[in-house]
Amino acid sequence: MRRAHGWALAAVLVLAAGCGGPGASSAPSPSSSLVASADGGAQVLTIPITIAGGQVTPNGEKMTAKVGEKVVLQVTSDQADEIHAHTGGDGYELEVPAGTPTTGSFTPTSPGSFEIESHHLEKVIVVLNVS
Amino acid sequence: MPPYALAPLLAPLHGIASRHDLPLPFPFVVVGAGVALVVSFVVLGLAWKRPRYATVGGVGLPRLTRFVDGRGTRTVARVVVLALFLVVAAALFAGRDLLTNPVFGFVFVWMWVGLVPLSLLLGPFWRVVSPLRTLHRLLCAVARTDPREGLLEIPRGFGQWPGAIHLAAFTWLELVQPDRTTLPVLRVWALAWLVVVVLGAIVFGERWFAASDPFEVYSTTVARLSPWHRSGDTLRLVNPLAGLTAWRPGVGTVGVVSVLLGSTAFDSFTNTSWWLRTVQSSAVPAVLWATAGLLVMIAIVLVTFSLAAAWMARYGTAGPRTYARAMAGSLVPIVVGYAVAHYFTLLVIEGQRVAVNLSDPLGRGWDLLGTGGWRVDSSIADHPTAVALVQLIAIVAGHVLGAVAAHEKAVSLLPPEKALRGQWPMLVLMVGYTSAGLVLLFSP
Repeated sequence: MRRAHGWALAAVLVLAAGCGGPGASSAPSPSSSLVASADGGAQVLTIPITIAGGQVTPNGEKMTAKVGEKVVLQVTSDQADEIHAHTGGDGYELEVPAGTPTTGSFTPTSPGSFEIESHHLEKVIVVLNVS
Repeated sequence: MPPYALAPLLAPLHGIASRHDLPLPFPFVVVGAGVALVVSFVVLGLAWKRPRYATVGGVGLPRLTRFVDGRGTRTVARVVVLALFLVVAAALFAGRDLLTNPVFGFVFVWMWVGLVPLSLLLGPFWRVVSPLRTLHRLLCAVARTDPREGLLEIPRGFGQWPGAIHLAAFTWLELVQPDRTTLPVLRVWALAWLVVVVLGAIVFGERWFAASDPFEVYSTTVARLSPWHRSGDTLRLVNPLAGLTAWRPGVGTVGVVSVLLGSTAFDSFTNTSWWLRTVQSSAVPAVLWATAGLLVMIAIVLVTFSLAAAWMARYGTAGPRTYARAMAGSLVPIVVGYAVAHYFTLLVIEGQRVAVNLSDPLGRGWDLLGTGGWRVDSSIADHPTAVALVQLIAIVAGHVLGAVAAHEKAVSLLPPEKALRGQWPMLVLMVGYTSAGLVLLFSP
């Protein structure tokens, strides 16, 4: 779980730097907070996902998020795939073409433990614990 | 636009539910394990030294017995249940292969999970209303034969072992079988169930149901912890612990409880990151991993329990198997505690969906039961701390009842001066099962 946080932190910092404009140089120090935000103060969990040679990265890792926190999936895959996030209700689906980095996002609306999986490989990428 | 609006109903990779409970908070694990340990040693050291539940006690209820055993009551119950199963069979064989088909939830949620609370509340209800028993009775009526008589005797050593094996097969379907939420796969399993159990009943007579139908075996086992007990023909309302103590488990019961406990533990185990990581990066097919994992879990329970029972035999006069069988009942509360902790939110949330989907069994827009418009109330998921508390209480209460039942059995089976020395490994083992259950719910 600690590693997941590390990732989120790194991703968020990258995001902040990327879209920060003049203020980017005064980006918050790593210890200050995870809050970064394009959409008005809400937290964002960004999960970089790589699918290559039939293996998924992350590989069945546990991550945590809060209800209402936006979850961004940044997927790069060497084959066409669908990412399914079972977020309760009807779930979320992201079509991923081969070789083209694809980004999608969803926002969990209720607590629980949900699987984000590669549909074609039938592998669990992340177990997302939403509280 | 909400991201889910356009997405179809996606089949989850593992099991029927797209949502699982959050991991049990770690302090809950510590508190639960601590309570289990302390209670066990209190039971061992300070509790009664002579059997307490030598008689089953309770209140005899002759009028209720007459009602429950009445021809009319039984016929109505059997017809209602048979009708329900005919609707589900129609959904299975003539419905659409979508997750909205009620058959998946009916089998994995209502039949499998719902059986536990029903058996606790009503006693061994499945034995009375089993659609397979009704079918067999109808066949016998047509053939003008006595349902009790078959062509052969069931070999004596079988006991409930056929049931234990069929339970293991069902848990394999529930936890391992690829594409288990598709109609072709479930049709094969449903037919196998029908053929093995009903054909067996034709060969061995009606007794085969109690020996082999996995749902009946599960239901009668859990019902040992219900407040209902029969002495002679009369139904009695009793202290569930007294009822459990009065039970003399037969051949194969150790197998049954091992399958039930081991399979639930395996279900949790497959949620750990270690399991996901190992299986997914291995060249060995996931089905083989899962099959082996399930069998190993069941074997661990079977072997550890048999060893603890064998230790008891050192201090008593009978053989190890006799003690294993006699003590098997004390695992029932632990089995029930595990089942409640693992599956009660699934039953509450997905159970409602079954009621909704059953109203349109063939997927043609019907609303047979008037439940088609119900909305699934999943607000229980919004209270994770309360859910965790129920899980903790279920596991710990199961442990306490199990430890008390084991102590009661031990003092009635072993000479008083040796009872303590004989039973401590069994209690330690139970603490182990309980702690393992808690750690698995913590889901590292």
